[in-house]
Amino acid sequence: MIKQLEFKKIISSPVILGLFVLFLLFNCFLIYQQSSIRNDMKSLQPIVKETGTLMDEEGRNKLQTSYEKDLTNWNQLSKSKTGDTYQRAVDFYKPELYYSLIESNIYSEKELQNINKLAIKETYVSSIQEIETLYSNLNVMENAEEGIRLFGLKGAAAETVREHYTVLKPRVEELVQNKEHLHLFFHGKMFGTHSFLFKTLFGFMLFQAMILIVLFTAFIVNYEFEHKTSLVAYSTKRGRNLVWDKLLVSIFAGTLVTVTLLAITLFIYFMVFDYSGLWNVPISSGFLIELNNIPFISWWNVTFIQYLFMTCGLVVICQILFVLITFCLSMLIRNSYIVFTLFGVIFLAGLYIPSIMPKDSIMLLYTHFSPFILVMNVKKWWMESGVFTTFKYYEVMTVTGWLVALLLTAWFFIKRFARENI
Amino acid sequence: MRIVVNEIRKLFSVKVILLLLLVSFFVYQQFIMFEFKHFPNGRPLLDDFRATQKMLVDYGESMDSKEFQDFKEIKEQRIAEASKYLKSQEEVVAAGIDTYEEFRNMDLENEKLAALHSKIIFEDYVDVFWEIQAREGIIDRYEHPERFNQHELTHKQNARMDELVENGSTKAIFTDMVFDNYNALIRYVAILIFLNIMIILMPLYIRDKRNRVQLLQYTSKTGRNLFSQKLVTGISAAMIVITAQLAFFFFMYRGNDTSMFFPLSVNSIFNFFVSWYDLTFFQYMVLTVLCVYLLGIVLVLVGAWISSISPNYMTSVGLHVPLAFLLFGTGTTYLVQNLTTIYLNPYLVPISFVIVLVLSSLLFMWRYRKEKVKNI
Repeated sequence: MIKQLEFKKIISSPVILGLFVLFLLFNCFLIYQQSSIRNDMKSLQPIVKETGTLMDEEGRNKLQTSYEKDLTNWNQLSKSKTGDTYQRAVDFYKPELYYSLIESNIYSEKELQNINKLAIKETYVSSIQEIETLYSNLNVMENAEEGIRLFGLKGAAAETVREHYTVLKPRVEELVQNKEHLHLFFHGKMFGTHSFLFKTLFGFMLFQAMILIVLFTAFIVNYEFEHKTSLVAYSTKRGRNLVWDKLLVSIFAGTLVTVTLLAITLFIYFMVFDYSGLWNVPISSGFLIELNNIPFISWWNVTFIQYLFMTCGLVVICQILFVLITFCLSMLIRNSYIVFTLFGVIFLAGLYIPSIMPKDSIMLLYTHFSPFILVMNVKKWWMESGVFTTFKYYEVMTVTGWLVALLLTAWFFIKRFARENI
Repeated sequence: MRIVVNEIRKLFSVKVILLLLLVSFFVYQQFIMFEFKHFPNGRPLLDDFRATQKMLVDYGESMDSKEFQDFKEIKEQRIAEASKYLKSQEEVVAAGIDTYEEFRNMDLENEKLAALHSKIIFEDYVDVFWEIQAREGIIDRYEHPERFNQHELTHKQNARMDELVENGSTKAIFTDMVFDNYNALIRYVAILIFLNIMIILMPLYIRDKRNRVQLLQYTSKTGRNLFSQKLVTGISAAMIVITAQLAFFFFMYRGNDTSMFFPLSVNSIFNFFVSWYDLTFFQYMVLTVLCVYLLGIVLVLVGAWISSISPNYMTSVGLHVPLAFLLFGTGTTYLVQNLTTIYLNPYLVPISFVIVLVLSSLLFMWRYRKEKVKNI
């Protein structure tokens, strides 16, 4: 009953609901801005239907023949129309020819779409070779050395980084052997879906949920103090146990808010962008590689859908950590807006501390095990993610460590509150 | 007056000041210090900066064609020095390269030559090579003032460009590094200032409401006038914060050592920014500072309104979230950075300021009227 009433305080607050709707609208706007590429993305599905996602010897031959067939068809058409033939489909888009072709309206809308699809197919075909070369020359130890040099790591820190990358090495071999990198997926260099979904969208959702959570947790924990009813409420027998209810309700509401926000936004995202047939593609696929040419190397062989759920799960746990941090702060400071500001300060401090650590100390790596740094880099969760955070169980270690520590702190504050003078 | 002073004291409690210092410290560390520490950011920007400084000393505020000849000659001297350096390097001579021209046109596909090239440029950081590169960039820009018209511009914009070339402001020895650096800095500083104002003004009306002292206040003679006096308090507090923050910022900014650029026109050929008006860099800085003050007043009006309608801190902070989003994003992009840029309508900035000032005042006035007759 008490829990229900506490919960009601949160959801009946117009500002929480208003912000929630505003955030959702903002996410829709982000998706809408990105939606211009959805039609081009769709041309992958027919290819996958024809050849399957795996581009081993067999799949590649299938794709190659299908591509060549389409190109011959197109050349027949273009020969009859303009007398030109094309070696490759992209030649059609050479500026010196393209604009005059468009202006003279030789090709119908439908035909232009066909050549566009063909050009996209061609990109997939030609990427396979690139990906194979990239992965056969891939040496993660070199990446480690490069990072160590770039950030000027020395001594124990550099050694530990090397160790972690040595663990990654067999995984890369396994990845290549499993042919995880040769699965068709939306071309990263063309569409950048991974960055949009896991960096932009997830990044915004994390901060949106965090703002809501910090707001209502600070609000309900100090509700009695702000409304001057604390003297009455906390002098009864049930009284001081009220904070337990508040903690549980905050965690519950935090989870609920995060899950709803994720569910609605992702639902809209996948309605706009068609991922059918690609759910089971390994996340380490080489096609995902974006313009910076850095391959995605996940620590385990997970498919896209598994990766998505693992990431959502971790987001929820991170938000629970934020509930706990806010709860502890609110037990110390009985003023909700100062708690809100302090939370921001702590967040910035969490990002700042690693930069003042000495470059040769192992502490430099330990300070990266914080939820603040974790949430800044959703795009590289469960993957090789630069020298500081490439550690097989980095994500799991960070959240469990902090979860235990924060639960203990919260428990300590509750115990202390039981005999505090108010 | 006594009330206002006391109210200001209430706002600047020790706790809040500490909080402000903490926030400022971390914002400085995370966003602002970078622009101080890494100015100019790497090479060849550093060499570009040095060459520009030398130009200022040698030629004064602008460079005429005679001085430009001199500038070109210095480049030739540097090339001679570079060739001399190359001749003194055994490995280079062994590879069959002994003039700068040859070095320049070296086949970088060849691994051995590429290694030599990167050794001289990136490992030994031989200054003269970087300087030649920087000077070439400056010469190129000076010789091609028509780059101004590369963009697709309207007739009016083109006319402005031509006017600038004619009246000679394009020849000022300014540099885009100084301008971009300042532009980036002032944005972060503006955001920090707005953040500070928000933190300070949050309890403006809420605190009294929460402590239920309004019942006492509003029945006295001064009573409901307190509402407008608190606005005066808010504006004074904001002015104090803005002035203090800007003073600290410009104190730090002195370390970038750009004072010799102050009297120069920002419309120089060496700057990518083009203004509708003939501004010097100093005037431009004054303009940005003015805009920060004006936006600060708008923020006080909106913040006071939020504080007066919110029943609790959660609502107040919650309402500040979209406000901050608008102000830090759109607000600073159009009303603090790149002011009077030729790529936007010249009336955009003044009209936006009038609109936001009028709207926020109306918002507050409306609340003020209601407060006058409110039942408590």
